[in-house]
Amino acid sequence: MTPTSKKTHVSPEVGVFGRQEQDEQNTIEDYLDIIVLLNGDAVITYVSPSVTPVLGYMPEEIVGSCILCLVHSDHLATMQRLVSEMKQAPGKGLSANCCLHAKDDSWEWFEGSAINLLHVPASGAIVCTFRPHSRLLIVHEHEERVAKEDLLHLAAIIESSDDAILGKSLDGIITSWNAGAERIYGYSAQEIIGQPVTRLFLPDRLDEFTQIMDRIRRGERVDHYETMRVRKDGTMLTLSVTVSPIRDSSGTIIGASTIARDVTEQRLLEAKFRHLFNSNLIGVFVADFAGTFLDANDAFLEMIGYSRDELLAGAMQRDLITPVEFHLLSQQALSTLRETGSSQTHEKEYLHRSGRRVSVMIAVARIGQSETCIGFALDISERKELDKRKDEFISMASHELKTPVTSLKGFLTLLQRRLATQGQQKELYYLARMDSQINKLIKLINDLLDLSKMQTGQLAYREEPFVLDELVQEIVENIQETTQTHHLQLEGKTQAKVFGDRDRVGQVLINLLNNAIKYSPYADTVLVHIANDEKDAHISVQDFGIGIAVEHQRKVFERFYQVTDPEEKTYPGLGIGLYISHEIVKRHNGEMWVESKKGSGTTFHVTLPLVEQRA
Amino acid sequence: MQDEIKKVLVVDDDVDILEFLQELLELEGYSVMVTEKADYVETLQNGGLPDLILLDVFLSGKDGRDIARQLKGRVDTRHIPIVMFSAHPNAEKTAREAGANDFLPKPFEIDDLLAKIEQHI
Repeated sequence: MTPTSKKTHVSPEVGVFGRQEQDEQNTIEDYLDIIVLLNGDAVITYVSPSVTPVLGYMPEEIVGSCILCLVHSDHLATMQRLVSEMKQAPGKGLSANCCLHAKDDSWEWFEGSAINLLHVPASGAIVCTFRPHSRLLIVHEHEERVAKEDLLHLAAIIESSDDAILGKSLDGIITSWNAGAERIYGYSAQEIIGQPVTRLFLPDRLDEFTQIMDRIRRGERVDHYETMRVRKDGTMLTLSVTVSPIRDSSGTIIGASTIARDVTEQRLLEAKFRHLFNSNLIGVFVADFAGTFLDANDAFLEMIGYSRDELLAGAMQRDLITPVEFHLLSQQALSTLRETGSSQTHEKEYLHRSGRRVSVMIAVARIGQSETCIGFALDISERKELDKRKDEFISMASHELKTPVTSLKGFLTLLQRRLATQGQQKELYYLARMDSQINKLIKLINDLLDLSKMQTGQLAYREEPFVLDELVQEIVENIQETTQTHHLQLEGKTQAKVFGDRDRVGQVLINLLNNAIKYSPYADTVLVHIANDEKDAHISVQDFGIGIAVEHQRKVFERFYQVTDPEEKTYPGLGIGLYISHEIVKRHNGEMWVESKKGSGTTFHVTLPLVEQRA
Repeated sequence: MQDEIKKVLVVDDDVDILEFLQELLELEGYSVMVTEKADYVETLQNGGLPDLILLDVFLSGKDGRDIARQLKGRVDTRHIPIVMFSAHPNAEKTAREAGANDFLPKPFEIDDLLAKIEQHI
């Protein structure tokens, strides 16, 4: 039989690999190389068990035979020559293809290699390995399959990439186009492959193509180059592009691959943010939690008097630009920031480089989960200064108003005393009316002053325990004295002591009683009820007047709020009495609310904590 | 009327207030001396000392609290009760700190003023 190339293929009838199909890899690695040891006469002294699956012999069948007995006659002469050459040269190795005879009379091609180790005592043999060509084929097929799978993998990666990945020849003709490219540029692979890549370039940036390709020809890569391209629909894209040379198997550059990332949105966002940052409408800064300012816009730098160089040098430290008394507040804001991701808008002061204090309104937000934050600071020094001036003005104005009123009251009293001795009743009556009007004027001036002080937190409160019932009774009696239209009926008792400013609590009650009388012109009774539970004293003032519509009920406690329904419009007032009352009650840790039904009257409720509860 | 007529000195920069106070206090049986000049207080001499001083806080160029401190610092005048009054809302605390025995916010009821004078004189 003559060995033919056909014989190099695995024949199914031989079933060489059939038994090992379940584990090809092991078959290849462990079994199929036949290892043969020969003595100096080319007689087989050992053969590995792998001879059985490949050639069909059991090892013991061929040990003791000359290896040349297995060699095909066509190769016999060559093999004889090689064996004798090798025997002459200890340590010599050689390899050759040869055909060996199988037990079933077929022939198998091998890649044989041998080394003469006869002189090495440990082996004392010529060591040969015979690797069947059929195995080479399998290995090759395996490698091919792996390579093919790798390619498929690669193709899948390329297809699923969000980036555009495209290939082009050296003259700029597009040769490949992934789904990312289709999405970003708007062209399908079908319509763009074969077209010049310059279709994607802006007309005034065509020289970019020449520059890029020059570098590619030199074997250079263009890395993360940011540029503009144009989409199929004409919109502009901002892309970050990496272009690399493609070489053939001989290393010659035959084209280029381009990976382009669409950064249009990102750049737009960055630009918007930069714009906001640099707009200088408001101070903006970035700082780390340790207190170092990392970035700031000009408005912020100007606010605190530092230069950009100082900022970049890390010289701007929170504790350095914050007055000591605000350090605690800074720490609190920081822990809120850690917990919730943003701080409440709050007021604080910065220390300007010059030592001047700057009042700011600031809000800070954590950047993601990082240890940095972005802050917004508004300089409110001017507003603060205006507030201060306004307070001084109101304080002065009330002084100026009160002085003439003092004289008015003084002369009025003088007149009253004179006329009293002369018994002029009618005139005395008129004077009493004047006095009562002057008192109203005084109350208004005081309310306005209280209001201004409340806004700045300057209203002072005495803090001492007092008996509530006595106060309520006293005030009800006082007001009854000057009220002819209504009967003020006091019900209940508490014996409770509350803690706070007796005059201010009295002011609340006076206000509620006056309102009750004012807003119930057709009724003749106002009910005042006092009671207590173990925690609070409870006072209610009930009238049977015009009532307050539901939509106004919450707002009546707001500053300057006046119910503006046509009917109520006829009741003048400043809209500050209930606001002041509510503030006073809040300062006493009490509560105040209203119950009312339009047309059938209103009840105002006030609770104040008992003295025992204050511990 | 009591054996000895009590002398009240009123210091205020508003002449209208001085005028009605003088008349009212005299009606009440006091001997009244009024002045709008803060400096007058410094000229007070033994023998001519009042039994009580009604003293305004802001006196057009002079601070009534300085005068109170001065009087309370002088051996011969420190016994004289001083009642300060003011239309300024925050004056009470500082007036008392300056040594005023009592304080009355303006505007006031005459009866309240008389009660305070009665109490301290």
